[in-house]
Amino acid sequence: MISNDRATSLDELDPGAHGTIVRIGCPGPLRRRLLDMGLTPGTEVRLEGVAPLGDPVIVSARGCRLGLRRAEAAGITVVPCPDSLCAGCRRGRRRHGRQSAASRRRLLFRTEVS
Amino acid sequence: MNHSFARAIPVIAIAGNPNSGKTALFNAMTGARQHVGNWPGVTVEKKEGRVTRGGKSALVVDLPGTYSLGSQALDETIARDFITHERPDVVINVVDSTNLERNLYLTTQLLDLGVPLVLALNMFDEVKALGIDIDVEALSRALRVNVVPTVAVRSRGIDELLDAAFAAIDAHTRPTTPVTLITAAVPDTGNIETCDLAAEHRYKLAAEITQSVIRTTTDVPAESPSQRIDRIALNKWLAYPIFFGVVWAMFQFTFTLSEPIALWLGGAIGTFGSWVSRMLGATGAPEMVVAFLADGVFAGLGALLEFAPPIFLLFFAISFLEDIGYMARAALISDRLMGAVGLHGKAFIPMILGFGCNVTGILAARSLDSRRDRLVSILVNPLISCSARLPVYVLFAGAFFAERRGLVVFSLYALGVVLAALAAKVLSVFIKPDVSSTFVMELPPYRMPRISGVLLQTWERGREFLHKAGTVILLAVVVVWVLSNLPPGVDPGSPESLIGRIGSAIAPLLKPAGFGTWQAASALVFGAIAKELIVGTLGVLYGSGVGSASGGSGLINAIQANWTPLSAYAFMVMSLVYMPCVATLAAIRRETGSRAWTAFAMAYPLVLGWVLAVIVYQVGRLIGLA
Repeated sequence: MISNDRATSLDELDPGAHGTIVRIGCPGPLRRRLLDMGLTPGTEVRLEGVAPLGDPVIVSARGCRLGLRRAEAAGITVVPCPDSLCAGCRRGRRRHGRQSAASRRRLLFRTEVS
Repeated sequence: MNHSFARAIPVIAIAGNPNSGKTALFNAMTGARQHVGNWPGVTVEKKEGRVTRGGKSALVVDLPGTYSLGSQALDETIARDFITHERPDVVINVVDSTNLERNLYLTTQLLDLGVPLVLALNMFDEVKALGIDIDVEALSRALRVNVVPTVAVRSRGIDELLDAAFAAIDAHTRPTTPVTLITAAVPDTGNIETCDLAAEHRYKLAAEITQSVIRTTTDVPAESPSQRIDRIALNKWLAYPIFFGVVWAMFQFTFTLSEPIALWLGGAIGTFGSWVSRMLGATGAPEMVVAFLADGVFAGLGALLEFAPPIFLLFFAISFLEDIGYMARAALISDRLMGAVGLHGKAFIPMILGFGCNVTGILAARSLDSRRDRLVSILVNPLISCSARLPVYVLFAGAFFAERRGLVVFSLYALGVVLAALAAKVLSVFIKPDVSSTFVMELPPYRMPRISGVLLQTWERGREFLHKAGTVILLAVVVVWVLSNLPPGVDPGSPESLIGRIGSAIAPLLKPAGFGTWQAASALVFGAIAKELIVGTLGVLYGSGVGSASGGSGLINAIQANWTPLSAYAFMVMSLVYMPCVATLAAIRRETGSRAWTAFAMAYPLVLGWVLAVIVYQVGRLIGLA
């Protein structure tokens, strides 16, 4: 069973980081659409990057890439990958190069609590 | 299985995800024997074609590309209704082999609908190139349907696919699969929990099947070529320069390239028209009839043909950018900008194209999925200052604002953009959003399209538009000719002609805006046919004899004598806003499919333009600019 205490929303993930979807909180047609596109609970999802103006975000899941508005991604609850040294996360960080000091700190913090 | 009605020939429906190569497969199957129309009552494209194989023939219907069949979104409703109500004899499910798991989700839904199914494992060459092996036999066993590997863009596997489809038609068998048994217990309709369960279940099944049939022979690279391209194309600093470069290239391609062709076509039609009238004149036909043919019918034909080149080139550019995968990126990076006025990112390209020609802008709005967004983009597009309005600005700004000419013209373009943004904001408050107005959009891998496919798409779309809108344009030009030549014996377009009388009748209404003359009013009436005609009409009416778009010095002198800088600016504002031209209205009628919205699109700019022109003139007078 995945523990939910570190759960966050998909748009809060650091660029390049990945996690597992635990809940789709969006209502109505949006929920339907997200599920149809393969964002079902239990699916591994990565926040690939962000559009130049900070919105929408680019996520990948089940081998395909999607653009989602931040507000849409905010309704998706994920548990971030617990292992900051996991191959997928490292690959993601390399791909996206520099990270802000704040996000590095967040990452460090997460490592400590886990 | 039961057929609800007897059919002359069997029907094959093609279903599949967007970007799965569905259209390419349809083209490969039907070749040029196809017809593009609309699904009843909506503006979603419907393609039909004929196939023949081994003496048997069938009608092929290309269903809208969908990820699912479960939602109330327009595309999905059309596809689902066609399958459940029309009961095609067989459905070909096109599947992107490089993305099997996501594509098989739709397959599980199709299986549950109980139609005979054949799976086309498309882009099979790409999978091999990626070092992935798909066990076709195992996939066929797992789904209990025939599976045929295809490469639609190279027309590979098409014969085998057709054989499988005709075999399924002959067999009349309904597939029985474990999928049906599992999901029968979890219907798609109902409350959130069962919906989620059904989706989870289907994806679990799709993932399991994918795992069991796929074998990776080499290491899959950490980053796909598309991801590498997107690192540049969606880069924080480079995305917008690249985007504007692409838009600029599209603009140049559409309008610069079409200009000489349009000129040549216009010249050819003119020559042909005068030849016909000479021949008729020689046979002693009444002068009125000859003039009607030459200046009415042939002028209308000329006007129509001038629209043809930019429309075909635009459709080519759009089809190409769509197929290559860039349109999704363009929508992604402009979503934030368009969101400010309540529109989807995809609405940006139609806006930009409006600067060239509003007709092309309105046609480009087809790419929007949401009915609301499409309607709003169409309705505000005429406020974007198209290239046909430029001669008006050049004439009046040149006559009155010599040294500040550039600034004046720029202010009008800016006014058009501001008005379009405001109108979009207001309209999107009043028009109820429909179910599909979410962003959620796939970023498909970049792919090189086959040019023949793009050309076919361009030809079908362009031909259909010219056929429908052409009638309206032709009719309008003929009506204006009749108005300017009746009652019999008047000088064409003189104050005594019907159009002159209409001009005189309207003129008092325009007095508060500072240009209450019958010449200005008539010019605006003609300008409703095509904005290019405003300057030409003024040229004729002021008797300068030079009706050219650039305006002779005689016209400039007449304008300077009869207008003031303030009334000239008010007139330019009016010309910008007041009414979409006939071709634009024809496009609006065609694309919205609604008389009421077309009437609205005609009326609201008329009111808005008049109010703005009056404000400009009256406020200008108050602050002493007259």
